Amino acid sequence: MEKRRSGPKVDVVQIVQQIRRQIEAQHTEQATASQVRQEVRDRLLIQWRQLPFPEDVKKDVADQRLQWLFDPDAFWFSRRPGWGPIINFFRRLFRPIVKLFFNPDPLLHHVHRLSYLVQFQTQLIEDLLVERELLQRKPPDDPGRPRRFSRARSRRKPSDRGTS
Amino acid sequence: MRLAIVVQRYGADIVSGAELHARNLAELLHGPHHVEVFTTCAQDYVTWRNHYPPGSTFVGPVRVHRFPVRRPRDPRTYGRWEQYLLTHPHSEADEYRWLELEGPYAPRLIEAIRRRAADFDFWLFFSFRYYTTFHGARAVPDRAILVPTAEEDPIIGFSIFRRLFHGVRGIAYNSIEEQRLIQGMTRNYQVPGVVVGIHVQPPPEPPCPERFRQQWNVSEPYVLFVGRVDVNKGAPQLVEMFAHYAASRPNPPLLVLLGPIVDSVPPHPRIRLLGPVDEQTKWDALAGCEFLINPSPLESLSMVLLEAWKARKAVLVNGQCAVLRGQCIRSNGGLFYTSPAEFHRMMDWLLEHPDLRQQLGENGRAYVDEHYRPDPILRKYEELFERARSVPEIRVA
Repeated sequence: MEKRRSGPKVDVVQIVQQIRRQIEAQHTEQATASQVRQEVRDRLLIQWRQLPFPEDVKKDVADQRLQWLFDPDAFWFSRRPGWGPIINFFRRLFRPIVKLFFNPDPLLHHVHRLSYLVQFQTQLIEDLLVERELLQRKPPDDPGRPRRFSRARSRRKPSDRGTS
Repeated sequence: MRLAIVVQRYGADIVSGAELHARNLAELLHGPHHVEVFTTCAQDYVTWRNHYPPGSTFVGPVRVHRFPVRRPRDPRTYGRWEQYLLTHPHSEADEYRWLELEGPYAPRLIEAIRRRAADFDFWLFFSFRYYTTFHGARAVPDRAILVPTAEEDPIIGFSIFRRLFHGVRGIAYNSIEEQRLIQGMTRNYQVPGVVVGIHVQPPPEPPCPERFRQQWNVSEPYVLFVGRVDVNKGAPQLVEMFAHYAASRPNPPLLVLLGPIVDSVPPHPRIRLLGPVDEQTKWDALAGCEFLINPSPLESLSMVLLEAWKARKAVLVNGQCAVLRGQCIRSNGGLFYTSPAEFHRMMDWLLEHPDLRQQLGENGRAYVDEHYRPDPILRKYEELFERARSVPEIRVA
């Protein structure tokens, strides 16, 4: 019973080792992907901070890693310590009277949706940048690397500029 | 030769583990030898509560003597005591108390063994961890052959078992890994030992996968688990891993679980929990499955693995169990995983490569035909009896 059977075509130890190598490679790839994502986020934040916006706005959004979301309740709700609950009580009490003159609800809903849209776009840009970065890092002979990528790089020659 | 087999439970309706092993062996040895079985009246392995009437009867062709369990096991007290012993310094007296709590506590069975010691050439004791084996083997040390069915269980390090593994005429190991484990722990190299295992009983009728599919309304491809649905057998862990696998694949197979349900598992649309089934249904299910999964972390042999190979099916096993891993490597008949990520990949690999899966099944079948047919098993037992006779007289410490 000591002897090991070797089938004509298949060796389980080799298969298991091969599968383990695949998992290892996948883990390395995943680690690279998360590293690249972090780099992209940092780069986006640097670009955001360079914009000519008020400092407090830039800080506010940067603190939330560009994932800022507008909360419609913030319009009516006071978080001020001490007076906050009293203010909230009167705001609730007089809200119907305010709405006799103008209705801010549609505006609040639109801003709320817009903030989701902005968040989605930010995420999309981030994903595209990560994807591009990962493709660029693949070796030139990797079959997963798009050919257009290689051509785009090779076209970046001064002599090609201005010709069409 | 006159042989007696001592086992904690015995019956045609007990179809798991060491007890099935004991029954298969009793029926195999019954041809060339005279065999009688000594056991308890218990059917339930958790409490050992008396179920069968005491006295002598026949199960198949073999005469069986049943003795009552004097005190059923209280699983909570037993569990607490075992946990205490495994985590604290303790004396041998504490271990003897643990052994009584473990049971099956049947002193009349031990008395009968002592009384009839000379009626048999050899007494074969099944499963090292039970009261009946320990005290039975010590009652007839010069005629005792131990079939330990040991797993990588920490209680094997209890000092009383050192006495047991040194104090028998011979040991029939189930696998090389089991032999290494016991010899490594107890240094009983002088005790004659043979790696035997047990033959695989053929199905009652030729297996028919269609019958299983119709009976249980299983129309899709499925992978199979056979055994107790129990934490100790790794079933809940398998269900959890499979649920993650199914959620991450577009077209996963079904997971069918056959066997007594001890621990509940959460319902899942891709998992079918069918409960205990008869032998024929098991073989029908084996014949129709894509492959068999054995997630058990502790095994001394795994008869279901041999049955799957007999049915020419590949297997996927828990690689943390040295015995299962060793069997797969020796037979080239299955893959072994050690993490959920490996489980997922190996499921994919086996499902995507039907030709190689078939090859694994064929390798497994050839391995079973070579080592687990009645003839080699009988020959190895004869060899063990021969070697056991040549051992000098044993003194019980």
